[in-house]
Amino acid sequence: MAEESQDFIEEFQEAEDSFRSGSLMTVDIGSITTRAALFDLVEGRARFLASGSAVSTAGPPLFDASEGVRFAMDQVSDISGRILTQEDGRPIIPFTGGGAGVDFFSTTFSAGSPLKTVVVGLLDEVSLTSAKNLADTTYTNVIASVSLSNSGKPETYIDKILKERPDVILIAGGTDEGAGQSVFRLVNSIGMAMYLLPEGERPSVLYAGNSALAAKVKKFFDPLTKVFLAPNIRPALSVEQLGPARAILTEIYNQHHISKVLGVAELNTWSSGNFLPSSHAIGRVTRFFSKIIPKPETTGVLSVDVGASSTVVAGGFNGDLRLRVFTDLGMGQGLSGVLKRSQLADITRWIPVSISPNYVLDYIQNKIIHPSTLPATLQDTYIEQAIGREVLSRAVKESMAAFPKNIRRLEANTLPVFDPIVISGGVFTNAPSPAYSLLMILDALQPTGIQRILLDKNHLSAGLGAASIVVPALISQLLFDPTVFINLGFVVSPISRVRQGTAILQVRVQYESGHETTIKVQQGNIQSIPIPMGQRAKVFLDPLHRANIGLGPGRSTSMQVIGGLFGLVVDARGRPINLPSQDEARHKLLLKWQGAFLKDRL
Amino acid sequence: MLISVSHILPLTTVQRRRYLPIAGKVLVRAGQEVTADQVIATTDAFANHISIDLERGLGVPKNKVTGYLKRKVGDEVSEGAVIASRSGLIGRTVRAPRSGTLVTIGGGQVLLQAKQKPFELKAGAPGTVVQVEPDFGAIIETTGAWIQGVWGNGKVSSGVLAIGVEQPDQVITTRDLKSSQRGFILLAGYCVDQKVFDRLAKIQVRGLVLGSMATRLIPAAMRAPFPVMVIDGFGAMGINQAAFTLLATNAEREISLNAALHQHHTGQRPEIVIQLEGQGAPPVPMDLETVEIGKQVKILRAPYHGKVGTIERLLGIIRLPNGMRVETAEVALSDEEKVLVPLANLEILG
Repeated sequence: MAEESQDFIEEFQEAEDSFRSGSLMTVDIGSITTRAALFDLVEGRARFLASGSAVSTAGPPLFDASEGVRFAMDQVSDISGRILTQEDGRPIIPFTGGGAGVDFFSTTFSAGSPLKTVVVGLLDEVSLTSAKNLADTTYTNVIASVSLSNSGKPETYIDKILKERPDVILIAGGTDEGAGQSVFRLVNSIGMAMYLLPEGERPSVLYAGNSALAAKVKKFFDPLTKVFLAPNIRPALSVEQLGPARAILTEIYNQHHISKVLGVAELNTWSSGNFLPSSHAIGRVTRFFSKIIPKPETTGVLSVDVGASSTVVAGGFNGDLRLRVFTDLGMGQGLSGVLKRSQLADITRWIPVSISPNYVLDYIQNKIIHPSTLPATLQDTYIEQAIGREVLSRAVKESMAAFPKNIRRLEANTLPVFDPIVISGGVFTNAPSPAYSLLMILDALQPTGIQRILLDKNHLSAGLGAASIVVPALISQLLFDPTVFINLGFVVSPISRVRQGTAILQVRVQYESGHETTIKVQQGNIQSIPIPMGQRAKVFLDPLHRANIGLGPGRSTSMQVIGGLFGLVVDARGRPINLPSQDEARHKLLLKWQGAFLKDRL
Repeated sequence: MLISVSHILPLTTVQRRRYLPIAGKVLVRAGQEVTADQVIATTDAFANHISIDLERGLGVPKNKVTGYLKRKVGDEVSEGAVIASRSGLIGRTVRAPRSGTLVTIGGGQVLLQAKQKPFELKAGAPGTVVQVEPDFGAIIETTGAWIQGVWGNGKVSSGVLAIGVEQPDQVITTRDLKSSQRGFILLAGYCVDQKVFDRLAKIQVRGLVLGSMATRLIPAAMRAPFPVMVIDGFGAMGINQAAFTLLATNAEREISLNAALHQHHTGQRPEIVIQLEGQGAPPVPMDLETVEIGKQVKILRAPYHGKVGTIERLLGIIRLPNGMRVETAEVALSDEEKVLVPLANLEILG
């Protein structure tokens, strides 16, 4: 991983001087919405100018991804007043002396079907797990898992392959200089299925197993299909190395969509090859944040993007990226995965009013059918937000196994300490107010310690990730630009075991004006202490009754804080948040938290 | 702004693309008339395979097994037929465990494709084959009424339409079911009782069309031996007035019900096609249209889910009572009732 991180830094340093003045257009094509954003760069200083969105057209009825891009660019053009496209709809590249066009164009993509994938490994707990982890780093749908122990007779997966027609087969297995014969037994059966498929419908093969067998595997599959070789993803029993194979899988994903989705090849040309899966681009931004934001070694950066069809979780740990894509978790079609993974009560417990469980089920089913629709009543808004909490919570919980073991956490089974946490996705950005967004995020993630929460209000993360290839400065300069990422606030979440109502944290805020405020926050409460947006303040945190704010029980600290939308937020509701089982009491408590925290911001 | 179109049309040209998911054999030709139930293509690609281990069966190394084969790739074999044998002091014979075709040999194994009924693709709608895609299927064109739904249980049928309720928002219960409905496709407002499906199966109806149904009934609807199509969504809101009126005027007519599973990636939706004689039917309608004043729309979410109205005004971005700021239209549900609806919650009818 260290080697991968070094490559990444060098790549950025190399790019540093290549592009200092000009304009950039980033385009992100989601399953529901296509977004375009325009940036200017003058002598190395970046500025976000405008964004626009349109319905995605990669799928039915138009089946041409570039149409939605043209609509979104037209919107940007209307807002910015800049002519961006030629008469035939193609972007003007480069920027002209007459003030039209852009110098750089990038595309990120998450629409279309995920790659249908078969994962193959020797042992369930070793190489097969690593092959699944590799598949999870991009938009895949694992339709079959084959290993020596789980697959039964070869015909079981041969039939599956013939019926499901996978796009790619990921083969792992055998540590370097380890098993050979067993790997080849599996390869042989996969080859039989491949032989039975018509030419042109055979899946690509990505081999990332025992390196000693790579040439033999390539020779075996070469007459049948396209074969990609990657370094062993499990070179030793205790070592997993996904980075190089992830890059190749990304390339397979790109090529698949370029050849299968109309308009994508055109976008790839406009982008001069800067065409990336959105997850990959979000991963780049997260990894970059984790390098440039000063913080302790064991503190990571967390980015989560909750889309309609999929959810991306990216953890950046000092340049080391852990990426997980859930193609069955989201706020639209992805809701079918929520119903498989969660109980209905996991959702309804966050709704602060009485609603029949059957109505919630109907809501979910209707949202699967019409994923782009919005809640139009308060009751439906509560349901939507409760689902958003569960999707965010579930995705991050299931991603935690992939995070480094040494990452800092205040207690077992709590969220590790991340700073910042960056959240994007319509359910958060379209909320009636940012207060709802922050409360949803805190309820879902239940962070501990001290961190900033940033909201990707304009859905720019993926675009920035793609643009960072030529303009790394774009990310570092725009990270704390409130027009790009809204700083919802610094959140302090103490852990304490004292009874409800006992004061557990004294907060003293010294404002730039010289004015000072001191408050005590009680166990069970959530409270916002205003610090005007962009203003600096010195904050003194003194835990009471041995409460832990991340430095150890009872240990105090002071820090400089730049005011976010909600200043400083103290979430003293305990970890985990225990909600009363009795409906009436639970509704009362949820409404109390809403009222106390949101006040006049709703 | 472009939004999707839901087709509820009394007379139009409908073109249906009916392709196998994987290559097979097409049974129709261009210009041929087909019925909704007619099989237009088949494929063996969903057949089961059996792997037979010759190395173990014959007791010889895998690179030697081909010398003992009594059959070759492509041969059809019946159950018990000898595939390979080895003579000697202890002779060994490998026989076919089932009837089928030998499809490949390699790695000391032979793969037998077991004989079974091929997968059959039905036309789904009556009409004329206007184009054949070799190995995959055909495009079928018909003239008539067309009503799209939002959910189906994957089954296809045709039959005479019977209106099972008097009002579009009327629930269907077991009390509404009679044995005289046998062989009909039944139309009802909404359903909240699983027993309705059991009773309809006993009566042997040929299909059920609902405005909405409770989500918890999905497993029962999937098990039903007849096609089930939902036109508006899940809940208890009945059938939209436009669809109800159109279907009611076609009562007692033969209809084709293709309760296809709704697939976002392909755009496949369940639908009813009622073939009508008619000259000069309008061409195939658009699936995406620009929002404009005067267009008839269907509302997709509460509190007006399933209601049909006309766009009176486009209001731009405004704040709704729930606090969200979204692009909104004023929709007239009637002369007296005008409501505000986010554009995202509208589908154009056309």
